[in-house]
Amino acid sequence: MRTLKGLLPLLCGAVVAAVLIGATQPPERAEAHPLGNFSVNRLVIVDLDGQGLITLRYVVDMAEIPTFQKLNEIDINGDGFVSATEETAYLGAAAEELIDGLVLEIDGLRLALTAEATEMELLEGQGGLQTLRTVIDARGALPDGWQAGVAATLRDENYGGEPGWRQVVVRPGAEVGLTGGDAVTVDVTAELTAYPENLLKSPPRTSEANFAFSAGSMTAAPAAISQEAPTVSRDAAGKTLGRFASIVSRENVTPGLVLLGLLLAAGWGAMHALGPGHGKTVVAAYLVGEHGRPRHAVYLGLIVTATHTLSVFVLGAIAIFAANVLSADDVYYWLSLASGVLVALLGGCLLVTRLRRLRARRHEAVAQQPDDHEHDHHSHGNHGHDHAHDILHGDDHGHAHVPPAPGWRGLVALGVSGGLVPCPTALVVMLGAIAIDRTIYGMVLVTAFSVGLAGVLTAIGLLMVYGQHMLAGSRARSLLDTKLARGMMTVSPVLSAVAILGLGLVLASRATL
Amino acid sequence: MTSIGEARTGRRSATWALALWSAALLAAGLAVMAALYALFGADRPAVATRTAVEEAAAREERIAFFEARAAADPLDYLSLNVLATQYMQRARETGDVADYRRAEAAAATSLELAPQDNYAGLINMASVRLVQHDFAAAALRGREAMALKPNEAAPYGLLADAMVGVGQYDKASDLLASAVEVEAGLPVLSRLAHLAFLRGDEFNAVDFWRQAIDRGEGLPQENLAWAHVQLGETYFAVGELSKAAREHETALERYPEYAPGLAGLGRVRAAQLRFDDAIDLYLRAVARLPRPQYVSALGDVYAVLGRQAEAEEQYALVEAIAGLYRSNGINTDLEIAAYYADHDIEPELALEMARAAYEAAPGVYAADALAWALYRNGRYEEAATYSAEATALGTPEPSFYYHAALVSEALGDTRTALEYSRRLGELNPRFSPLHAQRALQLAEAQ
Repeated sequence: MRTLKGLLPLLCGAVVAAVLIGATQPPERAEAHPLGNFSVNRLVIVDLDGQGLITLRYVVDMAEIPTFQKLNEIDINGDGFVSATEETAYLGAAAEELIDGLVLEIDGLRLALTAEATEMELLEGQGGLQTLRTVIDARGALPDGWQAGVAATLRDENYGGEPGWRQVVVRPGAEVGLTGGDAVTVDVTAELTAYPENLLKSPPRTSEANFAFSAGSMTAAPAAISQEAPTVSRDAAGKTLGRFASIVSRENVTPGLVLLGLLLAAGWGAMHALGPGHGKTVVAAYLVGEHGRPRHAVYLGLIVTATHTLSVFVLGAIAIFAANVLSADDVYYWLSLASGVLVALLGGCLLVTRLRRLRARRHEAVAQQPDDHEHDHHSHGNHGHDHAHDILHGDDHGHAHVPPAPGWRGLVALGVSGGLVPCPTALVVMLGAIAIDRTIYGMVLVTAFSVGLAGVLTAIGLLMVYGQHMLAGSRARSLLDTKLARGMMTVSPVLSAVAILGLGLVLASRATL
Repeated sequence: MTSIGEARTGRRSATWALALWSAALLAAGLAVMAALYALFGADRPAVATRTAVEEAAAREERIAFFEARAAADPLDYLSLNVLATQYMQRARETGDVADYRRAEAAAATSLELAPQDNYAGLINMASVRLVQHDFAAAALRGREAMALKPNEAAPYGLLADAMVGVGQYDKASDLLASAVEVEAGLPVLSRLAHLAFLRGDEFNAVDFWRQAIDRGEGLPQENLAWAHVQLGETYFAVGELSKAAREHETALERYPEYAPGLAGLGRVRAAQLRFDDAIDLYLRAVARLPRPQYVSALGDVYAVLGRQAEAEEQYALVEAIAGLYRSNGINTDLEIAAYYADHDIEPELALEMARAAYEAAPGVYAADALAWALYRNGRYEEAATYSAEATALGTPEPSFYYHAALVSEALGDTRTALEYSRRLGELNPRFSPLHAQRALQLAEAQ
């Protein structure tokens, strides 16, 4: 533990720090400003009314010390009171200055804002001091054609690095739809009069918000309400995550605990794989379409495990060691995209191959010519077998003609794409472990997690493979031997290839959204 | 697509290919991790090349991350420990004192969740108590932590801080002697430097600060900036103004607009009679962090320039902050007493506060403040006792000798006054713009 280094500047920081902590509390203690006596808290609420008007409410809540400094300015005659004239003078100047510091850009062009109403309020603060709350309403007219959709940016350039709450809230009216951006839509502070009391949640420090909107009531909830760390908010199962993440942080690690941890990690990996994503459909479609055997399902599992583990390690390492060069979010995005593109490519290749195969077979069926589909590397001679029939038999039937089996390139592509996008939970464990100097343990747990995850995919693959075999060997066979079924069986590989291609495109496009 | 279903050999080679591929992938992952660790991870949080701004951004991510973790798992006290440390570092950098309350809450909850074997929780709590000037509680937590991990430097350092806080310099010295055996890093070396300064060994103080800075690479930029500022203050005390300015400038390069650096440089500029620069620097320091010392120093510069109204504004702000202290029940008697005595106002109150401060934690600074307040009340005999105590260790703090010389002079003890004045002259008679004129007179009357 190198905690010591953090405790150094006690001598210099001590006095100021002491102001707010309240080690010993005197009886008649007034409440400290919830965000500190030095804070300048700012909130911009943007209302979009749907009539081409954009209304801003700018609230500045100054704590005791900034208020004290400001009052020197406001109280022109220095009599210790703010007269009506002094108030008017302050509000006039403040409106102009503060509105000037609010930069609202619509499609890159700054929008002129005019102050509408202003008010100030001095409230009783701590130590006989006051706090100052200033509210300024302003409005601007949106450029023509905004209904078709515009991108807006609001930047609060007032003040400096003072501590305190900083937020931009965008509230679309009934006839306006938010179509994107990172602005929150709910003010949780009642316009800076009631701050959330959770001490273990740092106040937001957002002075810039992006939001796109257009006419219409459809509001595609943007990043909106969530202020969580991005890696965490991605995981719906927050509680599971917390518990899994806490495995790594037990203070005393015994062999029994490690074993339990490994089992739990694998279990959570499996649970996670059962949730949406991770290409279960793709695995199924591929193995069925390519007549996979049990061992192919196992290979797939191996590749998924290795890829997923690697992904988590690399992303974790980037997040911790190279965060200033690369953002984990960007890497996440590229991995998702790569994963989708990989699946789409695989689907595309399969489609081309299978279409060719299908055409060749048709040709063969009609002209009774020698088989020439490209997967046959030796001559089959003349035979009258129906391929659709063979497909259902696997290679145990002693037929001279063996159906095509999955190529290793396909398996690798599929496995890599299945493991490429790390599960947020696994990433959390990795980062958490690094943060408390238990990197190795974290790596082991992540590996177990990947094994669990891949295990489910393998199991699904095996189910498909055995299901196919059983179907082929049972009485269903006679049923399937009809002409219709044969036709279906001939076309189904093509359909599954189309499905894989489609899924890949969906995955890739989801990443780009 | 190659068919692997036909020939046994083909199948086997494919099996090998897949196994190899998996193994290679894992090996590559491990290699990447190892390489990154070797490059950056040897001394986390490392990445010495990061700027203060990048560090701050990374810290915000870290805090958000662990806040989310702590919220997701109400039993996760280790995340709370990380949070407490991060909050304290952020408080030091931004001056957002609310972060100390967050740190206290995180440390307290962590210790509630895990009362046993919670070393980091104890360390965090001890640190919070030190910031609050609750030295007894800090020492208690520090000892508990030391019992858990006797081979860590941190508890020694915290205990030493608590001992320095109550003026027990010998105990602090023993503790640091043990700590330096464990780990001679910036934390321990900087404490040794501070102790050397207190004990009148300014040469070793400078040397320890230099070593501390050399060993501090890889720590947060703020820690290094802080060490440079402290070295600058040491140079300032002994009158090496240009060296002092250079250290403060280095601090500001490492950490732009670092309030202690701005104020330290402002103090140097005021001593160099570059008052406009001083005002600019103090204004920037106060804008970032309105500490009473900076505010009153700014007032002093205005005062010597005859800008009385502006000076009064700043002094009023000092009083306002003092009011906040009082209503928060925080013991900052020492600082406020010194402020009153410096400005020759509220003599009775100054004396009362200085005495309370001295009784609570008798150190050389408290002894000096008491002597100075007694002097302002015309009680020169008593004042002489305490100024003798303040200067007994030879602490190279110019104000100590200035106060002591004035006290001796008032008692008619010219010889002792001359001795004190000589030491003042060796040090920095321009330590305060308000008192520079008189201090220079004393120093030159050799």
